[in-house]
Amino acid sequence: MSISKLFLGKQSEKLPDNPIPPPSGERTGWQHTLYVIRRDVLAIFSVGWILLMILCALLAPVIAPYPDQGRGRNDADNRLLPPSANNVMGTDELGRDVLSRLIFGAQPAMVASLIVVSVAMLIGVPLGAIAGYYGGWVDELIMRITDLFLAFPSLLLAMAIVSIAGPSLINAVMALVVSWWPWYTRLVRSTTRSLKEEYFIEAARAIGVSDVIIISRHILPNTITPIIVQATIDIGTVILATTSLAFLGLGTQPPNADWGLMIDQGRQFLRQAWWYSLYPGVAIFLTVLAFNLLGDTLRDIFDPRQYR
Amino acid sequence: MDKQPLVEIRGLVKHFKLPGGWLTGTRRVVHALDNINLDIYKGEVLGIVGESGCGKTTLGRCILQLIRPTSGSILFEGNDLTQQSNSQLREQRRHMQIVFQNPLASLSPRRTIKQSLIEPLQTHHFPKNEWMPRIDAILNKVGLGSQHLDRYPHELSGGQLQRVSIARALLLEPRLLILDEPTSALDVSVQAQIINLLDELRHEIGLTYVFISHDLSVVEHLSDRIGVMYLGKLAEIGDARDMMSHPTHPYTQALLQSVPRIGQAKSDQFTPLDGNVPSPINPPSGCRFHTRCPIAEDICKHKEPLLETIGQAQEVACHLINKESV
Amino acid sequence: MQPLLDVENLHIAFDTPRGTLKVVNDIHFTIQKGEIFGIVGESGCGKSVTSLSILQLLPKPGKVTQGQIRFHGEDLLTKSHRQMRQIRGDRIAMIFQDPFTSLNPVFRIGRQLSDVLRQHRDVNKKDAQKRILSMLDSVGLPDVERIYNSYPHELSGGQQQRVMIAMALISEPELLIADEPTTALDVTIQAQILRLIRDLCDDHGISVLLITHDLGVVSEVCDRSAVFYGGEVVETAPTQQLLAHPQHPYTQGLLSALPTTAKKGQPLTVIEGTVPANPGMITGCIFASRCVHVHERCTQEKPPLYTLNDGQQAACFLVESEAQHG
Repeated sequence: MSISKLFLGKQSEKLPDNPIPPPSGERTGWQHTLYVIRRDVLAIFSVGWILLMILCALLAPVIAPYPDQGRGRNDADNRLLPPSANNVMGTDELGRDVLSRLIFGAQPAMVASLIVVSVAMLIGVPLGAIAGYYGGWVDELIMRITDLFLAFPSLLLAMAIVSIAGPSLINAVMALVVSWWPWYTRLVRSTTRSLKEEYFIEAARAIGVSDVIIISRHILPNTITPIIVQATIDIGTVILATTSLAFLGLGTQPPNADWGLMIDQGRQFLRQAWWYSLYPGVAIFLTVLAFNLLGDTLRDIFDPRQYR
Repeated sequence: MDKQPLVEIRGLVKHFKLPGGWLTGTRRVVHALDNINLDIYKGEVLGIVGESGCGKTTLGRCILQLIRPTSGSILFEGNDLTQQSNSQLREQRRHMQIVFQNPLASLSPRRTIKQSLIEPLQTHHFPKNEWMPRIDAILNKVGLGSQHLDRYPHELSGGQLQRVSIARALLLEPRLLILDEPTSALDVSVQAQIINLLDELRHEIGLTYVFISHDLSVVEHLSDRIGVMYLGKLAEIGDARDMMSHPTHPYTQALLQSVPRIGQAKSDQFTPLDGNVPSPINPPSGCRFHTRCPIAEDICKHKEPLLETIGQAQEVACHLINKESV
Repeated sequence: MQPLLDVENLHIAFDTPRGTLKVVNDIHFTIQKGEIFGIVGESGCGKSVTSLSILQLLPKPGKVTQGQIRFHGEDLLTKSHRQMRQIRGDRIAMIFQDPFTSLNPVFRIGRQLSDVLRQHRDVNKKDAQKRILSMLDSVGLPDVERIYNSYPHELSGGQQQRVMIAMALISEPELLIADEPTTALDVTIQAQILRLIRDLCDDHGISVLLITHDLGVVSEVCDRSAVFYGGEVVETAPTQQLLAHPQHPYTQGLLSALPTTAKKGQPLTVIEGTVPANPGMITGCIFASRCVHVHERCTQEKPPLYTLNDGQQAACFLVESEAQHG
């Protein structure tokens, strides 16, 4: 029980006897969400682009014009062709259609980042809740470990791990999880610490509810919103990380398609075949931007005080 | 009112340590409660009043062991709660409940009223088939209906929410109910409804209340006895009617005179009590009230007055009063 | 005699994404020079919003849709931002409920007061300091040199509120608007602040608009008062008259719901029902849904503010005959 709560003196805010009502034409939760999104062009763009990327990831073999090439089959006769009717984004040095490679590249980007973020949350969130709720030495212990991991620049840590374990997308994913979970621990810990002081938590304790249930039933659901916002933005950041690792040769290995890998491979041909590196670069940019914007929009939606 | 105490508090002390001060060795301490001795009788309403920093909120929490005392004992029906482990306490919680000041904040925002009401029944392993009948019965008692069950806290008004809080507290059939400023966040008209409800329930179920408030008129209306606290100590405790009409302790007198009343404005003879409430981090020596007391004498600065019985069932902690009655 | 402040036909509405919500509906009241005028009502009645609109301080989605607020005959609502900035703090000052959030935590008290003073008056630093120290003294602060050099968090709640009052009065305004100035303070400190406000009015002729939910406060300090309900004025009168002989059923209900007026053991009189959700949409009397004396006419026609003898006004058809004959 925090001291500050006890010395507040008189509670000065009176609750109105009925909550502020909608005067006319109420919108329910979902309708309100859609309303906000619809009003915002950027939000429309971000949701649209992300859906497109998910579609590409799920249905790559169906959508891509040259699915075999997307997977890696060469076509030696058509190397480095500029964009044309046959190859809307041109071909790479092995004659593969860039557009198809791009579509297949959405797979590692989306899947890997989703896995990284989910696993990081699975590890980080409970640790943060425990640290925040119990305080004391438990808190100290968990936070020192968290600080340790936070001190390493994530990309370098990931690089180090991948160098030892061997370059592959899976190893890159594991490496990123290791550097990502501490952020969630911190986030959840601070939210938990402030929630802990709320009356309804005290009420639950007064009823005799056990700690574990208090954390899972009362605290965690109320920490969800900042977590979701953070996770959404993080997906974008992780995509940057996985593609960077691939760019450095430490992630997805050829012949699999990956945006970062494509940029790396296209580097040598930048003068003659600008399309090779450009399109994957644009894809990364737009996707990360979309997740950032979506995160912002979610934050606005979740903030009850915003009247937009 | 039974003569058998339901709760016996002896030597209750609660000090909070403030962070910092390691190096210099001077850790600042908040003296929230110091040597409180108090009995709570079965079936009574004991009002606890005082201003900020007096410790009344801490007292309520300590009785329920939501805050563990620094020292002292709290006997509930003979069992010392301070000696019990966390898991033993959780069993005991059935018998003593609390209703908080802010009804909206007392309920989990993402759970429906129904879920919040099921929680105590579930936690204490009531048979599942009894849940809804009990909930329906209690809702009826507090003046709510089943249409409120599927709502979320933010969809209800302050008065309705406070009824839900009271309902939740009563589901476990407690013997003791601590009410921590239950009407302070409510409008006057709603306050009246809740006070009436509490009064009714008390007579119907035979509950014991500890009613903590800064609002003297509300406390007086409901309470059998009233305890006045100042800076972590009990200044005076006794029959509610007597105390409000003939307050003995100088602080109680000042408190009563300071309350803005309807009717004639205060005469020019009335001087408001001087100065501020001292900080509980550094309470004054001797009698804690001496810095503001209009009749303070030398002894008050050095020696702490103890609660002594004067007259029938009235206890006062003041050197000057106690000297007179000796 | 021209009133100092004359509010006429005031309508205020809030523009939310979910539609327009009317919060103040056609209110009138006047404040004379040298008087303390109280606005009393429960939460959501529109009292705070009214006070903010006087100084054009309504937060964004809110706006005045109709009406005039005349100060010395000039309509404040027609003034530009620049003109209002000159009036605020200079001729009309305002203090709020929570002094701690109104004071800038990173600047010393002296600095903050000096900023306000030199904004409106052409004084050099030395003279400013002298005036400020004398002001701090006249609001009853002890040890003014120390307070001058302190930060807000080093002061107690009562001291902070006094600083706020000092800051409001430093350029000698004609009207002080005080929005729940003592609600967050302890009872004994409240008594001091109310006494201070009364003295300031009596000794220096400063008019005060005091907004509160506490009928006791209004009784102690206000010369005349208006009762607000659902965004409308339901009754106005000299305060003692209002409290002794309330004419409007809402005022009557409010008074009888208070624990001070009730007999112990008897339930408090309760005003049934709740404040209407959308008061702006109600044709007919705003209180009709909860009134014990309601007639059919009340739901169809809105009663105007009838004037009775002695200046008492009530918006209720029940007084219609008396008003016409009186």
